[in-house]
Amino acid sequence: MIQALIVSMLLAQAPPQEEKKPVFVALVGGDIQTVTQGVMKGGTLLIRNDKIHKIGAVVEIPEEATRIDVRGKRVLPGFVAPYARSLGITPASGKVADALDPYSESIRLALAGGITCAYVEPRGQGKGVFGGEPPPSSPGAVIKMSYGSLEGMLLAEPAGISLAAWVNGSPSERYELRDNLLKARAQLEKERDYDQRRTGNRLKPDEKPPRATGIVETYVKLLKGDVTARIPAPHADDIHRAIDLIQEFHLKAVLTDLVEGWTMAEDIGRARAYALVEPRVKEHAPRNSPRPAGSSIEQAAILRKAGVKFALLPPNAAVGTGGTAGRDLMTLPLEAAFAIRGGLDEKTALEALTITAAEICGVDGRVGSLEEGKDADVVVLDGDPFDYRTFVELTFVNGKLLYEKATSPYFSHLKKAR
Amino acid sequence: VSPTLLLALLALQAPSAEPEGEIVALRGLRILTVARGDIAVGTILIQGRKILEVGSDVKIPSGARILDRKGRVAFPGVLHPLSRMGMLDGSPSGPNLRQLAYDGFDPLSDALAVAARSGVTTVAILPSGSGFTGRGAILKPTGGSRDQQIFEKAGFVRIVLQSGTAAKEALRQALESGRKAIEAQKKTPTAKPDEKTLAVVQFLKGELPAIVEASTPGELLHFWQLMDGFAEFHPRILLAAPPDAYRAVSELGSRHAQVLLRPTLALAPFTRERINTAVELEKAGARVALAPYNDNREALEGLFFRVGELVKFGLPRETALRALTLTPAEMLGIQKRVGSIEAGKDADLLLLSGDPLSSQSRLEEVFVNGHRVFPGE
Repeated sequence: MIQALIVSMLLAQAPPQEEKKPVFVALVGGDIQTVTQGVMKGGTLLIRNDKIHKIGAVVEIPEEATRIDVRGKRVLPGFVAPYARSLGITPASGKVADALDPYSESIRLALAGGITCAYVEPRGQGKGVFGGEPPPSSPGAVIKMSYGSLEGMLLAEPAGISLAAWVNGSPSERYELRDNLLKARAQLEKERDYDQRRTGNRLKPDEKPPRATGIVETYVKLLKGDVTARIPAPHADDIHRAIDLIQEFHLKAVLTDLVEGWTMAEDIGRARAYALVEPRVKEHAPRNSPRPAGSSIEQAAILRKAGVKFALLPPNAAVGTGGTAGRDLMTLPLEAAFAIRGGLDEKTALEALTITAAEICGVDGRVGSLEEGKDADVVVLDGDPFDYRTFVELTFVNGKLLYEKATSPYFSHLKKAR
Repeated sequence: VSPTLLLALLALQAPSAEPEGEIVALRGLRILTVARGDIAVGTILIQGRKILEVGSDVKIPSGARILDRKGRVAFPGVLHPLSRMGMLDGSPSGPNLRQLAYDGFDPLSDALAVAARSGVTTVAILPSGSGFTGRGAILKPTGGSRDQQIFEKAGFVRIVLQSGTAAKEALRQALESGRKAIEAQKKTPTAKPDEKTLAVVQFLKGELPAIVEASTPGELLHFWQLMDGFAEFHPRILLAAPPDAYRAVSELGSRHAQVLLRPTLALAPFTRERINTAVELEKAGARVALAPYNDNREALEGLFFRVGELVKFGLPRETALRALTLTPAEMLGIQKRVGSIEAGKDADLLLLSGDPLSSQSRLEEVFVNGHRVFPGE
């Protein structure tokens, strides 16, 4: 009787939950384009739960693993959209975390395009004219295309902040922006001073750490390099102005909407700024312009020569089935193909779609390349990524297979052209 | 003395017994009881507000008024769990913890008469707003004063989920206030939650069910994540499904969710493939009640037809009929009074010319609380 009681007590103490068995998926026999560690032909990529477990020519595959034969296919890291409009979030204002919409059809479309990760901005509370899109006043975030799952969807927030007012704003708005950056700099000095005195045990009794709120708090993160400044700078004068700010505050910054970036590649390189390049941008130089002006298909190649790191964007940074085909995020690798047409090497082009985009968003430690320990965000392509005939066959996010061309309503009826 | 009469006498002696009334016998019916199967030819005895007896060999007491309804089909009155009929609250926006739908209800609304003659005999009316919007009432469209029609003044709470930081924060704070009130009550049992937090307390304790509405299935994931922070409570949650609820079928199923669904067939995006969400949800482990998609005449009168369509595309007939009556009654905790044709329950009955799900059947008579409300006398 007592024994039975003890046994039952023991049983009661032991939590009934058992260790969750890891889930393995093995992609076998594909050409693995790791981006950061070269290409492995006919290798195996083993996923364990949500991470890349092993990559190699010979990988021991656990018996319980799901094996997928990808011989003759390309295995790549999922593409990272360095900016996306209304993708995976509702139009609600506030934090992206509170607007995540994991069942959005836009996510399924992005997955069909091989995108596993995107930088998004919540709807701004700024002044919109006639419903026009106001400049976002709240920071952007990086989200995963984890369809159906809120868990693991938010990758980084805040990840970026638009400093559009510096280029497009009125003089007073520009003054305010710089003033807030100065406040953030002072705040950062206070924080460093506090930390130093804390480690030296020189704090006053009951001294509290200095706190910043609102935009200054975000700008402090910006000055620390934890958040990337996004500055639209289409033309040479905008680029000059942006570079002034970047250099004054040593910002981690990315120049967006570039048209004349190719005319100032060296300056952008010296400022250590990143770039978002839209290879298909077209704009005539003004008549009789005294300097190089207008757009150039060589922009990406020229920036590369100047050592500028960049990611790529399509003319329309959204996903959808409307509009002109091939001009949005559903065919992001084709933007790289246009950059290659303008003289860019394929290696840099692939980096621009993956690891550099991740670096700009500050998430390159987690995504953007196929490396052991990184997130299992993987795409399988049926051909060369830069070939217009190539389709995404499989898309994995956080180790879960979330897109299969064979069963997708979008592309299952299309056969690959030879 | 017949056993039926004895039973009736016993019932009369019970403290909550209705005043003695005339016994009415509906004879010759095919009875779909919903709770206990179908009776091919049977009789329903009604006394006062209640059903006295149901069966194929019911002895009709002498003195009973006999209504011959040979060939008619009897079905329990339909429960509409997501209604705004008769609400004159001016549609306030935002959260309102202490709001009662009862206070905004117009008992003379024409919509109630339309509901009654469409076969809807129990209605849950929702307070408006977003976030935690207060408590809803449950009524029967019998005509008469507010208190004659409403039988649960505060029968459930309503939560309308919204995307965005401000809305989520407001809901979290409302729940937090309920938790604080419950903890205070544990320390000092005499402490009573104030009127403002009472509804939240009743929700968290599971004393009242909550109708939780989401405009997108993604909001459900946010809601469950929020409720994980209140895991010590076991509230009764009824989820009013968003239009594309089929996307969240596996989540709803694995959580054995109670779902209030509009009876429509969805289309898989970018295809012409029909999705019968009700079937998918039931298969996955969720429980489905069906609600008219609107309060208007078309939605109410067309309800059986739409439900018939769900049956045509795979929903088991028994499940479908139950989903209009007993299932939502159980979800709202009023199954002792309504939802099926059983002795002791309220005499809320529909008499049809044929099977309820046949498009050729006509609704001929509606009884609520034992009174015929349609057609009028």
